[in-house]
Amino acid sequence: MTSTFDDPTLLAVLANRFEAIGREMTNTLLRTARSAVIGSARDFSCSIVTGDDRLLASAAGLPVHVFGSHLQTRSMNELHHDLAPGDAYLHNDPYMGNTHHADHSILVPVFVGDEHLFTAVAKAHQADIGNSQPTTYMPFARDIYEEGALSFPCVRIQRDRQDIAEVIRTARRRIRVPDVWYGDYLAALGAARIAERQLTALVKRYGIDTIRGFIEAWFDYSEARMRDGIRDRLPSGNYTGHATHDPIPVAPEGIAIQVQISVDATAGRILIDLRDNPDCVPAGLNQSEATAVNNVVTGLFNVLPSDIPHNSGSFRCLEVLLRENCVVGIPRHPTCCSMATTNIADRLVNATQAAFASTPGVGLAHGGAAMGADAAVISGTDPRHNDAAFVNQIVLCNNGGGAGPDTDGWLTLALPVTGGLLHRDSVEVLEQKYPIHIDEIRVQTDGGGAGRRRGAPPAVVTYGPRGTQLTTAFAGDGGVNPAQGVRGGRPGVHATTTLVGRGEDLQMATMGIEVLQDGERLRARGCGGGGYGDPAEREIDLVLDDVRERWISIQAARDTYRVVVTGTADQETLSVDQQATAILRQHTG
Amino acid sequence: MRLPMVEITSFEDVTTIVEAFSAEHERLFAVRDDQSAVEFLVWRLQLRAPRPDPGNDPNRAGPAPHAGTATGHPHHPHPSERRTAVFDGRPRETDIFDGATLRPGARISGPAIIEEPTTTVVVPAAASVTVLPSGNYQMEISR
Repeated sequence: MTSTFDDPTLLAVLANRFEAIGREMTNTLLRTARSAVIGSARDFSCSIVTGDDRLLASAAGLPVHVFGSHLQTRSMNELHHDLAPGDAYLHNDPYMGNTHHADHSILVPVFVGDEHLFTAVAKAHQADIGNSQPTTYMPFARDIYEEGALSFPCVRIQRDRQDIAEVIRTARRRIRVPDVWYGDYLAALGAARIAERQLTALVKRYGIDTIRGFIEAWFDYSEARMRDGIRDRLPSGNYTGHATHDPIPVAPEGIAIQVQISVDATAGRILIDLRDNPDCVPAGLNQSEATAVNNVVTGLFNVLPSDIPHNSGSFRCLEVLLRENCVVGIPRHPTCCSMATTNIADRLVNATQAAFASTPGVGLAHGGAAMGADAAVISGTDPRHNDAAFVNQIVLCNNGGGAGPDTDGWLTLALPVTGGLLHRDSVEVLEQKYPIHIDEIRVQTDGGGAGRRRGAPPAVVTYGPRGTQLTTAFAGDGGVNPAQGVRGGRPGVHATTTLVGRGEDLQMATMGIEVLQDGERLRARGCGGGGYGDPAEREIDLVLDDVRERWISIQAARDTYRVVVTGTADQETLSVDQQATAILRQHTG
Repeated sequence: MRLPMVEITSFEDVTTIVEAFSAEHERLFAVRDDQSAVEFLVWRLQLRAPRPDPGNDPNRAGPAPHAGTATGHPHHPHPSERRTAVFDGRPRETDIFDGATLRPGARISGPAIIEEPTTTVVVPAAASVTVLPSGNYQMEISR
């Protein structure tokens, strides 16, 4: 469609206005949410979709959440022929465009006169969703019946701006912390209603014809930017990326996935084929349609210029081929997608971004992908508050980012699917909200994968209950298969989970449910990011800096980076033995 | 959130302030929750009062030479110390003033340095500073 919108200044003004409305939604959710996973860790995303189901503005949402809200609005339009102003819909159905059951999405259709012009979408990961166990992640559930989540397949939850009482009642009956859920529902609803208010004002100010013209022009601009980005960054050709999720009982060899990519740089088009992958597994690790697409899109955007708008305009340059009943495809009911936003999702991001590293100077190494016990769902009762029940995911984890061709890995990646956007919980706020004590959070020396550009190290986190017992449920990956390096870069360290205080320290699996008694501790380490390029080619000064700041040890400097460092950090006498280094580097390889 | 001033002496007063909270919540965030208890964790009070005479400002230490006058009379304060500082590329003995002790009407000729708790004002050689009744510094550059 050729647009007739010819005012570039107004184009920029309106594009920023839509993003600003998205940020107002984000602020509303952050300020009013009740659970820490939403209010502190910001495990939520807001977006604005056109009335005809095209993603228009994504407001720096978590990458794993953004693609797919337009699939959800499509299901709203298909299922509800009596949409009206004042409606709101609750949607957590992974077969109709949602990510996974834990993400409750609130959809508010925005009307201008009689016309349904936009849908505001606020998606937030709930503290509890009524699963069969007190966790929103069920890695071993064979299907949605074992998973136990309440399903809301695009259910009307407000009409005329009033709650539909039986839907609220249904949720409250099965969700372990009904008041927390209801508060978080209101927070998401408020975010969507704020967008409704502001979008209505925006159309009133500029007129509907201007806004219509803007929408088409903005999609066209985004598409052009995407084509340019592909042409500038990615040579034409075929690329294949691989990554393997750790073994689980139903897949004892692990789950190996591959991403086949075909780039036509001249046309600015990319085809990604995920069909040659294993069938769905009878476990909670399957991708939903939204996340399967989402995560390869994230991996692709990670290697393109960062200021390309993420919307249905830029998506026009991209085709993702999926097949039904594929672990990274379209799941059939009642396949379980409980963990569709992490684990294999993280591996998909990694496989995609690393695929492009077959070309020198392009792509990214794998990021650490272990959402382990340092990001557990904790539950129990709080003796400080009359034994009130609590359940909530803590977000203390850190996995190191993978290195790029020019830069070391990003330290606070958290997970590939969140791309560094997830906030970290505040230790003090978490200890105030829940009866736990956090003993340490520290960066692991030598944890990042070595390389000419170094992967970022993970954190080590130790915590446990205070004055009570604590149920912890965690489902981390990366205990067996670390984040891989590219172009000679090394893998980062793998994840570990240690139970401390019950006799000898016990090494545990990175997935499980553990009840901690008062005084016992879990110590979890995430995965380091992979390195990019041969570590023996890292600049000697950078290696010395790394030793000085304890990113790496003197031993790793010598054995891996081939740089001989003498002296000690404590005495501030660290320096490079240039002669010994020259000899060592000469004999490398 | 900004709430009206309510003297709380009865249950109705509590209802009033809770209603005011919910209304403000709805204005800011588009939703309200009438079923949940409202817990106030942090109170902030905003007070407005006429500005005291800066010439008599008790936060400025030292005796006011002309207590009660807003403008202060012109005077040259004593430096709190002298230190070597570099001006125009050469070191020279420089008057250092403690900004908290300066009073309206004070005049300082450069080169000088005025030290404030959160900043440092450098007065170049060709400039002079007057402390205004408001407490602000007005610098005049004479070249």
